[in-house]
Amino acid sequence: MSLKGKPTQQMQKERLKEEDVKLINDDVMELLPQHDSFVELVPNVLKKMLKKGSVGEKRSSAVIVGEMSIQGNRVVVILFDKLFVMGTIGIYEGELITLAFEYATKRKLPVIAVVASGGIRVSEGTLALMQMVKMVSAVRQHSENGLLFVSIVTNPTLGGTSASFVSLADIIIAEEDAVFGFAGKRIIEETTHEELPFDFQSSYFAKKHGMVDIVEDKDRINKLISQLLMYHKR
Amino acid sequence: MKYLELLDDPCRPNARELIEKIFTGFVELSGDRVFGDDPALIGGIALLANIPVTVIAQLRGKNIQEQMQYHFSMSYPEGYRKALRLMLQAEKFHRPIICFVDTIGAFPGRAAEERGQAVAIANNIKAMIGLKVPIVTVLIGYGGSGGALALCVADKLLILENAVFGVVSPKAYATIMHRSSQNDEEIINALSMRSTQLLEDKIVDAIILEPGKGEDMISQKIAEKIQECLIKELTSLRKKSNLKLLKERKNRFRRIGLDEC
Repeated sequence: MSLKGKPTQQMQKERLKEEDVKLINDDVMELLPQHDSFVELVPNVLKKMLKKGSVGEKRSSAVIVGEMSIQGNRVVVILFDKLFVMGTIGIYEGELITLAFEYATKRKLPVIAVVASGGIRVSEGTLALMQMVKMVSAVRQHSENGLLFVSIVTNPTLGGTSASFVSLADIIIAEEDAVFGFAGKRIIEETTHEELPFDFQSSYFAKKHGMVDIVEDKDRINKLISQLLMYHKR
Repeated sequence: MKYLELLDDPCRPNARELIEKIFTGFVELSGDRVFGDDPALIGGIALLANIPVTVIAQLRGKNIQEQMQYHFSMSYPEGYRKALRLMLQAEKFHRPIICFVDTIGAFPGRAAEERGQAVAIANNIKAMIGLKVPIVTVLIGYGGSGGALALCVADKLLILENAVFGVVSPKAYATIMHRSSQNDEEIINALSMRSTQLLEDKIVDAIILEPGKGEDMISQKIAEKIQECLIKELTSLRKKSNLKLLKERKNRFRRIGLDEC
């Protein structure tokens, strides 16, 4: 199947099914206040790509995008399912994240990304790597429109995911037990043979080195999100 | 290890040798003004057909001493920050930017992580998508992951026939996947890193053919070919308005991979 015409496609709203919420995993949803308002956004044109299995089976994407209402603030949410190929970003995920930012820019909405991703999906080759550019380009446009983007990094947030849209957020919040960095620990050890500190790439390590704004537990992050959205109300 | 032997051949010119042959009057500029100077990524100003351009290039060593000096072509964050500084300088003075990519990847190490390897790469991509000067990038050897991508957000992306560009270097792939026995060629093909595949996927715009077997890569020939392509691309890019240039650059990357959907 090939896509003709304008790359930006209409997103269609769908209520997230309960089995999908379970797949995303409760840990992710707990980070967001009023998460029962979550409505999934499915781009029409990518629908066929989402070969959803029968109930209870894994979906075929590591990313789910939706819109929710937090204390009256509409917000676009990007969620990662790390159980799906380690939450890696492939061609589909790259397109979906880009569409999410474009959707938010068009409607002047903030974006919150809850990230759990091992990086770019190696098995999809160079086309997957190139997704980094269009995601960053969409973040830039969103930012130039004066809109808020918050990244919540969890365990793990690594590789090309860190080195693209996640690190460009206005505010980066790390969950207490997050792992946040670029190169994985094993690659570093095998390349440099250096001894890594026990807290290497932990949330506190990332904060100490200036890579994140805030380290908090789930409950506090949940409250912080409401507060930050209020401060940036347009 | 057959395919990579071709790229690792000390007769294959590295970016510094190519710069000497392609440009005149190269003035090297150093440092990221924050932490240090990365020897694996060099930059400066030079003339291309009498036009001042900013040149940014990744270096691979030709012998073990050089390889150590350039930490095996892997840049630290200060390398990407130096590149960004020089690219913004190019924009200020309306100079086109020419990049040469030759890296197995961004440096994976403790110090690189502490100094923000991820955000350094992200910032380069973010800046390059909106730079108001023409950008042409040439992949001349290895193009590994985000470390290569940080110089690849160009209006025209050219590749030498035997160069590779992919999500991970073949050696790192073998480590990640615990497949040290798999041969290079299989990995390179499986991860669609070859120039012909990249052209088909519309990731690169053109392939620059290399001299045939037995011919010397160091000879003037390959440098002349690259020079010819650069002049041709820049001549057409410089005719475009900034608005058109940026729109086309953005669309170019927006479309990559959409055929797969």
